[in-house]
Amino acid sequence: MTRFAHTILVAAIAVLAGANLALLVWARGDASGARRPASAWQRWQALPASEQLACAQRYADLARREDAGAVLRRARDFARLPAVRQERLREVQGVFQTTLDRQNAAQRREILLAPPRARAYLLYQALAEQDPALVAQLRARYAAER
Amino acid sequence: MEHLDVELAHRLLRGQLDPQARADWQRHVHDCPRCRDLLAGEREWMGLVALGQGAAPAAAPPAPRLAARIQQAVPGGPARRTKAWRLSGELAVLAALSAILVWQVAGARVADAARQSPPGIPPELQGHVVANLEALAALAHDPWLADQYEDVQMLERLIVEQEPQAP
Repeated sequence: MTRFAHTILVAAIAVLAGANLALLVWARGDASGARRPASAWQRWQALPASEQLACAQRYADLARREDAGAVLRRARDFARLPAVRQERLREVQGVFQTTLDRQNAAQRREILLAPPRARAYLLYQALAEQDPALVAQLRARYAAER
Repeated sequence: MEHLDVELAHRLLRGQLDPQARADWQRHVHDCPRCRDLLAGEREWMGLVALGQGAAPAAAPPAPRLAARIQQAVPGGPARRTKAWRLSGELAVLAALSAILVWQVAGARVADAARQSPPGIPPELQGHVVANLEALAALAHDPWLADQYEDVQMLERLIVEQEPQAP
């Protein structure tokens, strides 16, 4: 084999190695980009088409809200909580809704129109007045879970 | 004085010249680069010929580097075997790199195909949906998160921390 042919062979190896490396770096950058996490893509691809459409519709509906970003952030925060805490918050939400539904129209309006912190406090007051046993039971259980 | 020719150089190297002529040519070779080169080349050549015939060099040993190259160039010699191994190695590396490249390109194509948006979902919307898939899944399961999450968290804190009011 001539020296020229040997040089061509070594150059081909170098070019192929470079191409492989470039492709690898490109693929990794694309897959690990913050905008498109690979695991999210995998989960997305695993969804049936009907579920994908439902998700897209849900996002399109949500995007019309002014606070869409905040809603998504809250939902993401909740999704990352431990399962036990998620369950507890679901239970508290049930209590929240039941207590709200138990109020008359004027009280409900007052609660719903109050600023966020005051809203929760008004609701807590109503709950403590109307169902103190439930409050005591929940407090005891949540304290024990801590 | 004329320059050396091949025949004269051979005779000089074999010691076949008379002492006077030998002394004259040695002086000339000392001063003449052309004849010096010729003499050196012929000395190497004679050494190689002697080596090929299995005999010890007659006049002078061949240049060691050249002799080694000639010896290694013998068919089936160590140099040939080393070259063959090196060539095999290089071809194997080339083949492996080609295979990896093909595999990577094929993988990238499959990934691109998989990322094509399904019918009814524009590609841009798909990107947003995928980026927020975790949050959207949570909202699908717990729609109250959109409007009541902070209230519920606050209520939970009040239940745990607020002292019960005296009746």
